[in-house]
Amino acid sequence: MNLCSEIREHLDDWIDGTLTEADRTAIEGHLAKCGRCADQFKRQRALSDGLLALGGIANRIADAEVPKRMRRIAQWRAVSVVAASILLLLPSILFVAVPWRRAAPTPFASNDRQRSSRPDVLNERWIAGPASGPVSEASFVRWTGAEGRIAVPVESRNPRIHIVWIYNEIASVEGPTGGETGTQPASSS
Amino acid sequence: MTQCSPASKDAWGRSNRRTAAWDAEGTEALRRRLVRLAVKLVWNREDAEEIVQEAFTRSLTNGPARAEERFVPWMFRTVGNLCLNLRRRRRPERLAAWADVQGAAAPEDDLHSAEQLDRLRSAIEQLPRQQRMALVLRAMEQMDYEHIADIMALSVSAVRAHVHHARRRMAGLLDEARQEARP
Repeated sequence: MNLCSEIREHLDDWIDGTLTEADRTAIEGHLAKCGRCADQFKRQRALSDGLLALGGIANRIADAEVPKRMRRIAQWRAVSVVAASILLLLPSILFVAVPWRRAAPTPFASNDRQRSSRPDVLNERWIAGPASGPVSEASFVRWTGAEGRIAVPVESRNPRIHIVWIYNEIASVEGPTGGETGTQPASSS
Repeated sequence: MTQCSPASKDAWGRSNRRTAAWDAEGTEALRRRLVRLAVKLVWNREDAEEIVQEAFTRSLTNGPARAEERFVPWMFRTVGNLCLNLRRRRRPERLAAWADVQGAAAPEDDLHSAEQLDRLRSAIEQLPRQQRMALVLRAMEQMDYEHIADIMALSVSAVRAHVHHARRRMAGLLDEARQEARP
């Protein structure tokens, strides 16, 4: 490896200022005699200074005080986001907070159909709500058009939500104690 | 020629150690440093602020605890990755509005004019990710190699290599730009 190659290996350390005094002296002595190496070192030094200047500009941009106009725009933006959120949430808040008057039962909130393993049996789970008071089984039958079907109310944790299973037919099945038979609605799979 | 000594006061062996000591600093001071780094990568103050905010938000769910020593390098790494991954960027700041434009005795060598700084900025953006991050942290943030190694989760020698290659590449890119600029 010739001297120039060896000198250029230390270019980064020279730029970073991490050379010992002796090494720095040796390198600068070579640069005084070698135009090619001097040119390369000079370009790298200029690049390094340019990057430092660019860094300084970036710091100025980062540290600059946000203009009052921009601050006001940012504040209005924040206020409008909060206001829009409140408007969107308001119906939900009122729905929960305002006590509902006794009203006629409303259409079902959902209809969750579950098929049983037997294709000729259709089990449906109807969930109705809200209602202000107990709802009669007759009302459920009327709503679901379930005349001729069996409607079995299921316990619901929410007093306003009423759940009823509707079965098309009754099948004879073995009871849980084994050997006993009883009549109960065909269960879903 | 004698072996070059590292920047730290310790012997050469200890300067290569993986973990550097990070100064404890308040959240606001850290936020300002992170915004400075982000601006150096995306060149838009609003984008930078949003990225730093996103990094702090992520630190609450994914990051190390604030009291841990790896919190600060983790934040720098997250901000750096978010900046480098940013797709839709706002318009970069005009350097002429911020630079102290100086008269140059040898224009092709002086990289302080706004036009030259713009070329420099464009050249940095053409660097591969790791080289760009290493060069920005070293040459613009003036961070030492041990801290950069912590941030980038690399060895000190790997960081030195990235900086070395980045400088060479930048010199080449600027030479090309200079050639193109000549009538």
